[in-house]
Amino acid sequence: MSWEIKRMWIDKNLQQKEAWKEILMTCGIHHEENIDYTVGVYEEGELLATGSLYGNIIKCVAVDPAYQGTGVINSLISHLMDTVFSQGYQSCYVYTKPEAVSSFFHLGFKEIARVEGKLVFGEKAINGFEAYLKRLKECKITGDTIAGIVMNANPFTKGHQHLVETAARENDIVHLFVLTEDLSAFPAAARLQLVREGTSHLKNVYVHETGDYMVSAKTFPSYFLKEDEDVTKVQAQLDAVIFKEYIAPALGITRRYVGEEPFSFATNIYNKAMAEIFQGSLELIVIQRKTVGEQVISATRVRALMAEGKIDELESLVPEGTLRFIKSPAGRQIQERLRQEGR
Amino acid sequence: MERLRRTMMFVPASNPGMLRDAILYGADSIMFDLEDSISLREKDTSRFLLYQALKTFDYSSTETVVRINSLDAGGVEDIHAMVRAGIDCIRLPKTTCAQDVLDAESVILEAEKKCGREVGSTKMLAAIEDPMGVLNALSIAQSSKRLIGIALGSEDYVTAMKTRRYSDRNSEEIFFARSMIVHAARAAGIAALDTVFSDVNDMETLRKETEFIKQLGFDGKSVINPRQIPVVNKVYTPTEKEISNALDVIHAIEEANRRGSGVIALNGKMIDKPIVERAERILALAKAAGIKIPEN
Amino acid sequence: MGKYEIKGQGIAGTLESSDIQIIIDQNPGAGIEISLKSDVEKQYGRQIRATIEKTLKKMGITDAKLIVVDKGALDCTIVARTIAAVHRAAGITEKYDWEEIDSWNV
Repeated sequence: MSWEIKRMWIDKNLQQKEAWKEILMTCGIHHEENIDYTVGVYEEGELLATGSLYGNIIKCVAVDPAYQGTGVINSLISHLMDTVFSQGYQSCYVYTKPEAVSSFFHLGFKEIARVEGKLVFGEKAINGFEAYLKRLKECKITGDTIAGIVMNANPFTKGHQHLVETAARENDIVHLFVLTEDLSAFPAAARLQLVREGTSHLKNVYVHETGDYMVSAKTFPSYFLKEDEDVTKVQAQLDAVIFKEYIAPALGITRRYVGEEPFSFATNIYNKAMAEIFQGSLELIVIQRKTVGEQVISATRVRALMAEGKIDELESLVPEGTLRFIKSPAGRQIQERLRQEGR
Repeated sequence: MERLRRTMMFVPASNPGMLRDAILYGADSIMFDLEDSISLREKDTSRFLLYQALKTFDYSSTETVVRINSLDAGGVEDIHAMVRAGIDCIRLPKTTCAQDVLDAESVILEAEKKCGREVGSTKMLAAIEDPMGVLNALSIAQSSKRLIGIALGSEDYVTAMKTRRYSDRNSEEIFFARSMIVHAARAAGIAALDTVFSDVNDMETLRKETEFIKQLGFDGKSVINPRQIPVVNKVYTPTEKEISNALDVIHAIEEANRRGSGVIALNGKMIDKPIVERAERILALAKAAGIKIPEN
Repeated sequence: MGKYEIKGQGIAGTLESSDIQIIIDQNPGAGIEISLKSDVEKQYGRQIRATIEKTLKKMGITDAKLIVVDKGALDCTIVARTIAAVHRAAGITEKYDWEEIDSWNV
């Protein structure tokens, strides 16, 4: 073995970026922006393979066709995985084309879910998806009608509250999932806390974290999908498959509630894809958005008002707990950040 | 008879396959590396791996050397593990003065006592890798009875000298360092080992460089790839004429011994100690190269 | 609790040929659980598990969950990677007890 693994500075070194794009292209992969660590496998100055990380997700893996089956990928994935675990992560994920999945299985990855013909989502972890489902099952409560809701709640608004209240009224039990991923303006812990506070009056609502198994657009990779493929649609399909096949059965959920979003193209695609996957096994219930005046309440609007410093106008949009948080020192920091980003 | 050290093959301790196969390539010494070729993340795991390998594999008559980390960066732990695992020789990196050798020696002594290994049985090799070390070469070479040799490490040295390697220009930039090291080694009566040649595809320059360091008086060279071993060994293989002359010397000694004569002469010339040593060394090199020596 | 208490996840080894990658974590009260993936699982799976279990036992570890990917490692490599993973999981990064480590080889 004479190759070596070297860091690639694709954001700083134009030459390296070109070499990187080229090897990705050879493998039918296009490059992606959401990446924070990239390495190349070199032999005598020649780039044989590359792989990247975004947090604990392995992305953009490409091996020069002439070097496939030589063990280059083993060295590469070893290095990436070791980098992930040495940062203290408990698990490592990969999204890959179904054709390429077997080499990841050989390296100890397990399949979580797949969208046929499009992609496979895999993980390597001691206490991974199985352990998450086991913990979920322990939260199972019997009831005739059990509903599920997934939200980012960035932050929790009266609109979210309305959705949860409706579900709580129409069902015996409601399982409410809040995205764990820490990529939003409001930190995960705060979002979870505000949801708990804002739903504490509803005794049949149980709040859970999504773990790493329901993802945001930022984490979701698009690099190996075809140019014309709708990324949002595939992401929605994957989320829907995971929900339908694992999350819902673990808790006995038969209905999923979502908010209607007439003006968001992405959310519409999302809801449509979900309806297709759920067909025949889960009921998708779309609830009309709550409005104040003539505008619907949305977290996007709340953040926009925060950026503009119009805190007084928030009272009609968010529950008391959320408002208190926004006015707290931690909330003011978020306001400041939003204000700067808005410029 | 002193051990031959024509080739000292460099093997990163992080790679189980290479640890297993190291014996196969016919190097005179194997130098397992815990230092520069091992990433920080793999320092601990490589130490465990090498430890188990030394406990398990039979490296038979091949000399086992380990390049440890500096004492303040894991070297103490390296020494304790390796002395216990039965390594033949500890190679100190970046030796700048005699005190560096003495510091490491005291850790080795402590380790030997702790694991019940014969005191003094762990040998040492000092790598000289900077201008200070080069200038202190003699005092380094004379600093400890455990030292079997000193070696030049040129990468750090040329950097400290504000130059780089010019293998295509006779390596004049390290000529002084090589001369200092070979002189110091000879004055102290220990081995002198040359630096690596890093282009594993350029066998021609490797051969020329090896011929040159052999000419200077070096015992051998560090190699980084098994493919380099036969090239270096071949340079150190004596010619037929050298072998035949050496045999003549040996025959003359045997005859003198039979006669009980104190004076040994060959073709009218006195044979003194250096000539005997040279003849013995040539025959050892020939044997190591697989040449059959006719017995009488 | 023994000297080698697993406090968190520990990983050692690579996926390169002749190596073995071992990830170990706590498994309170549930014994030793090994999930093994190997190209030579049919012939050597039992032996690989036995080597890991034996090493853990010598280290006084009774509960642990492991995921292991073997790429044709020899016994001594399996032992070395197991020992390294446990040390990392126990948070031991210096002052290794080589006398004790040595005793596991007998």
